[in-house]
Parts: sequence; C-alpha cells; structure tokens
Amino acid sequence: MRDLSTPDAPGLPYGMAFEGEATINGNYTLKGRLMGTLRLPASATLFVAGEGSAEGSLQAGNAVIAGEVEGTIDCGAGAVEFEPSARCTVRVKYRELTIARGAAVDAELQQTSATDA
Amino acid sequence: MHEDSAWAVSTGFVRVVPPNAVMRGTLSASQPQRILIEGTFSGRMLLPGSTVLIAAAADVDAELIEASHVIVHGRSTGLIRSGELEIGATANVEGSLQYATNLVVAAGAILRASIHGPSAVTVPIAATTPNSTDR
Repeated sequence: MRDLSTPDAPGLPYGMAFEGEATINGNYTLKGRLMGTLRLPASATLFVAGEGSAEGSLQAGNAVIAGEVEGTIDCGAGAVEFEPSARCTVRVKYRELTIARGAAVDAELQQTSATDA
Repeated sequence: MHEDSAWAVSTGFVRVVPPNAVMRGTLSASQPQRILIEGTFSGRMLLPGSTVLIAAAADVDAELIEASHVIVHGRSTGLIRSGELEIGATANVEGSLQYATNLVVAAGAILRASIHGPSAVTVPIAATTPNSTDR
C-alpha cells in the first residue's frame, strides 16, 4: 500500500499525542495519537499509520487507515481505504471504499454520490 | 541559529504544525522529539526532553511550552519554560521566558518578556574552586 510518511511529510510522530482541534492545509500522517478533531481539505489525504491512532472526528479528501480509529471518518467526496492492520470502530462517509483482508472494521457506512458532494 | 524549515527537516525535525495549519489544544510526547512549528498553534506543549523549533512564519499563542530546547524565529506569546532557549533575529516574543542553562537572543529580535534564568546554583562555588582544598 502507498506510504505517505516520507521524511518531510507533515504529521504527528510516534510517541507524540495531540488533544484538540486541528485544521491542516495538506496531506497529514498520524503515527502518534490524536484525540479530537482533524480537518484536511478535499484535495488532501490523511494517512493513519500502523502505529498511529485517532479518537474523534476525521475529515479529509481521502483517507488511508492502517492503525486504530474510533469515531467518524468523513471523506464524502473521496476514498477511504482500510489496510490489513486497521482496527476501527467508526462511522464512515465515503464515495469509494476499500477494506483489505485482515482489517478489523466495525463501521456504519454512508456512501455518497457525485451529486451529493 | 538556523531558521530555514528545509534545514530543520533535513536534520530530523518533524513538521507537526505545517504551514497554514491551525491547531488548538495540547501537544505532548512520551519520548524525545524534534518538532517543527510552521503554522498557527494555541494551547500547551508538554514536551520534556524534546526540541521545539518555531519557524519564522509560525504564530504560537502558548499557555505553556515546556521542552528541553526551544528555538524561536517566529511570533510567540505566553510562557516558555526550557533548558536552553534561543531567540532568533526574526523572532517576536511576548510573555514569560524561563530557562535552566542557556539563553541566546540574536540582534534584531523583538522581545517584550520577563526573563527568569537559572534559579539555583547546584554546586557551591567553594566546592569547585581548586584552591579551596589547599588551604
């Protein structure tokens, strides 16, 4: 699967936690722990790495989830991909959805169409 | 003092608050980190053992920044408590600065702050004076 965690990619590193609200103007990688709200623009991709976790509300153009998420994922105009290592209890709004074999996903799904976005 | 974000990233800083980002809350770390702030942050940074670099374009309103090393090139208001503290020439700092070992302020920096240096001498001067044992 794609790896968005290049050395200069913005993100929360392993061993760090953020609790609060964040609005990021581009791609973002969670290797640490987020509690709260994270918003990315429709053009951006959120990557939750295998060691990363989030509890709260995530909004992005697209999301690639390899870690733990509990809460909501809103990618109503884009794609959500759950990697084999994903462990999630979520409500998901998406246009395209991929769940890889091995992913542990407990979800309420809401698919949007091009006319919804 | 370095103030270029590209240099910071090349030396291992992580872009936790990238340009144009807005983050409000608490950042904490369970292990030493090198953290680059390029956007807007308000709240607390509880980062003992870590280095925090506030880039020239960054805007930080800190209830508290606690780290082992803080480098400021941008705008910062609030309380900074650090072992080593560097204020760059482009910095605009307002608030309270507390440092344990070293403070460096570059010419050109705008500083409206109270400064509190090392509060205690950990080793009595007499004990470290070579001649003191010769008497």
